[in-house]
Amino acid sequence: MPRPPADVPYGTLDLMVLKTLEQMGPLHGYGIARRIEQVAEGMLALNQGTIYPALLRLEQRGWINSEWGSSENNRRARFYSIAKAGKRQLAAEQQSWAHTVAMMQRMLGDQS
Amino acid sequence: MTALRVLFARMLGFLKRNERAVEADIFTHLDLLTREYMARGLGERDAALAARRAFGSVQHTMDVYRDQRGLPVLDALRQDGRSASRSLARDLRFTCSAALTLGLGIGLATAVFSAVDAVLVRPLPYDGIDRIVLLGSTMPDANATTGEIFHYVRERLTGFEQTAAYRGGGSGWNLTVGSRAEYVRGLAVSQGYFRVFGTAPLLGRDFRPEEDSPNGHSTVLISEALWERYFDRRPDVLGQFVQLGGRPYEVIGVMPQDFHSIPRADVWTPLQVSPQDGSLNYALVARLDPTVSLVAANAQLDVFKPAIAREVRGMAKNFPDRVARMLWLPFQTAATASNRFVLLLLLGATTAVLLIACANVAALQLVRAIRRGREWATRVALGGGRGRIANQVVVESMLIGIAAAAVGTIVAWLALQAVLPFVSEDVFAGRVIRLDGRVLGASIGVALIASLVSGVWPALAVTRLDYRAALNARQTTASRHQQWCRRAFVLIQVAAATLLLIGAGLFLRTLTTAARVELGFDPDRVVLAQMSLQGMSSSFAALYERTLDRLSQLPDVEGAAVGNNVPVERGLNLPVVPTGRIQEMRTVDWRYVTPDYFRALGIALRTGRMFELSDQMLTARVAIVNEAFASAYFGDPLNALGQTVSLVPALDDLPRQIVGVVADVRTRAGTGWTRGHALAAPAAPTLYVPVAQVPEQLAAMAHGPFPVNWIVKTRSAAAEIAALEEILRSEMPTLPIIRFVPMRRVIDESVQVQQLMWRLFGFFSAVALNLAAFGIYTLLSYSVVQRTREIGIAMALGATAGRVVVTFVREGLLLTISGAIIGLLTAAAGTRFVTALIFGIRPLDPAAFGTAAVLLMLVAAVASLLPARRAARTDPMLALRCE
Repeated sequence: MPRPPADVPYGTLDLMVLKTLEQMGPLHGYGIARRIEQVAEGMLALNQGTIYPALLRLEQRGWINSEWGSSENNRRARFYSIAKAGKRQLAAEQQSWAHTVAMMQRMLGDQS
Repeated sequence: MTALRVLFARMLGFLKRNERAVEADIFTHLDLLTREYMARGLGERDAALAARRAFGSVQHTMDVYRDQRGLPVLDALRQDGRSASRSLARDLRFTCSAALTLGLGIGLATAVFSAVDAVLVRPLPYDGIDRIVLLGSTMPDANATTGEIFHYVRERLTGFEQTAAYRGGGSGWNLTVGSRAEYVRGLAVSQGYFRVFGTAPLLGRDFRPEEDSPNGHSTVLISEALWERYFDRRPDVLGQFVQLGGRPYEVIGVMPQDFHSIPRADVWTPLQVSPQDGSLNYALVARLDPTVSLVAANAQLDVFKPAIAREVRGMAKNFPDRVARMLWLPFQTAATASNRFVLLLLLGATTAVLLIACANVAALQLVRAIRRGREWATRVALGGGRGRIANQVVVESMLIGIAAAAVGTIVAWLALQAVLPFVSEDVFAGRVIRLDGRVLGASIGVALIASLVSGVWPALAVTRLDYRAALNARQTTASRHQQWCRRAFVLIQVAAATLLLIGAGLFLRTLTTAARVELGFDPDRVVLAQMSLQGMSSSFAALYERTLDRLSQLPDVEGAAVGNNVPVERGLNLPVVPTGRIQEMRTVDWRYVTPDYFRALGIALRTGRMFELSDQMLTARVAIVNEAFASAYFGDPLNALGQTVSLVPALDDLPRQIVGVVADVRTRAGTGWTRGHALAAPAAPTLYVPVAQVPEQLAAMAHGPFPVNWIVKTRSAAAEIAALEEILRSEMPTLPIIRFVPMRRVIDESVQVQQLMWRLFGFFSAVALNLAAFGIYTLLSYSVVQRTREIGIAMALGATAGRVVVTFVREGLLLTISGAIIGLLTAAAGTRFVTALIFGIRPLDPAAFGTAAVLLMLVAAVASLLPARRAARTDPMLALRCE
């Protein structure tokens, strides 16, 4: 039986966005949301609107850049791409996630 | 790093504020989502709904985005600001009166603080000013010292890098360079003077000791400006000769532009004071060694005082009390002392105005808070936070404060322009009074705080109330607390207004007393031409005769005369004895005059005769004295006739026989006489001699310090200055005329400080009186509104309208009386600040104090009567029915 979709764990959305941009190259907000949902395969209840504050946050930190472009439906939309600092940040976060996951698995190992 | 970057990005976001961008993004997103759902087979409306669901709340996204984007705290502030300015604009009368009142207070305070700062606080622009000291006295206005003391200190006392002396007052010189002539300011200074003030000539050198000793070579240092004007900055100015008062002086140096001596000067000549000189004509300054403190210098002086009293004979004999009182003072203090009282008094007055303004705004805010009490209570009841209300009030108060600061800056600038001409420019030594940024900042700070405290505190007080009670509008009991606060504010205002009124009264009384003073002469239609005859010791009598002859032929001239000094101004101080009675020596006011002097000035002859043209050098020496002279020496004017008097030392003068006695005229007393204002001091004994009988040495003395005056009495009010000028110029082409001035103005100039003070205090007290009246009026008005019910009950029970009026007027008057008493007591305690500036009346002048009290009572009565009458018109039935 498929599990009900989980809320986005706190603090992980930024990471997901960064990873998506790293893999897919420049995307607008809709594209990013679609991609995250695709990857999550229904495991995630994403309010797509929350992408925008996250994008702003990342941009303010200098991890992503944005520029105006035109979307598939010929509307104005901003296209985001990952910046150098963003890549460094992503690498660091991936490592720390792997670390956390490994540790949690050891802690919770006998219950799964 | 990242944090900084984020802050920067947020600040940009706050400033740029383009929300359209994210809106566009979001709508593109929704559109794409809708198309996606339609592609999956949903109808257009369902697809749009599904898209909305998947996206989540657009509003929420925007909110979060906005918070993330800018600076939320400031955003809230911006919002509060907008609603605050809306609310202030709605209540325009309140806003304007609060901002104007506060602005006026701030502006005046800023102007006066700036002046005080510039004159008293900021160091004079001399290198090492804190080491420059002046030999003063524990007695105010007694800083003069003698040549004897100067030489004694220079030789015996230690601990100084340099000592120097200068002539107490600056004097004018006729400077002639080639064919050009100009009247310049001069100061006689001893060798070492410039070193004391930490400066040196820009070109050339200081005086040599031998040049500074009696009968030394005549040398002069000139200002950079004169060097530029007359010598085109040529270095060969050194060694050239210029004429000062008709005598040649060798230029030995040029003083830099940024050096300003006190008193101001354009040329500096050697003092050449003799070690035997016992006259109190000098100021003694010194530059302390870096290791020596003022305290140590004074301790040393105390040790030497007995020796000074023993060895410095002239001083010990003539001014025995002065030695014990001698004291080294910081030069800064001594130099600014003359302006200290004026400025401190102004400071007190403006502080009072500022205080009144603050109290007034506080009262206004309180009244407003009470009026808005219901609105706020409603908001609190509906769940609005008290913090949010307080926030809005804070922002409102800040806006008022800012508006007040803007008004204040303008007022300050205007006020400074008004005050500046009255502060002696001597004390600035090149410093300028400007609107001081720090002072303005501090004043604005005060305004903001005053406005804040007065705004927030009532807001809290009002919202702290039980909002249900407030909603029920049972204000009869709800605001007792505020009633008390407003009473306190009114009390402060009345007290401060009383102080200012008394100040205004004292100065006005001084001026009216001065205007009523029996002058002893008639200043109307008299014009003076002032000119310096320095260096001219002979042939001046012939010059006068020629010019007066021509002047008296002018159709409009009623009489013309010359006197080396005119009434109100002081004359030469010379010791005089009746022949053979040496022990009765007194210093008298000595003047020479042409025969028409008394007629031109309307000075009455009491007995004997006036001078005649026949009184010449070779005829019997004669003198005319005033009544004060006659009674001082001979007990009675009639006894004076026929007596002979002589100068001590005689110089080149001979004993003179008194041939006439004239009326006393008002005159500024010089040194040696009881100090006091020209229009208040008792007349000094005065000796007049005919100009034709003035010998050379005496003439040189008379022409040294003061210019002489041509005195022209005209038939009509419009004086013939042009004709007068033409005659004087044609007779004396090389002598510059200092100024033409009506005699009236000479009198007015003697009371210009009092004039300024009267205008300022008059203006301040008018403002204060209005504010206080307004305070009383609003207090009672609100009191009436709040007690409508009570009044209604009282009237229903039979109280008459008169009774109601009395109740309220009594409340207003009681408050005024209490405030006035505080003000009167404070004023009585503070009179010592004004005694130096008022004359002719006692500091506790009953008229000034009484008028202030009565005026306040009247204004308070009117201010109370208006609301009281409104109360008396209350309809009991309506009053009881209303809530």
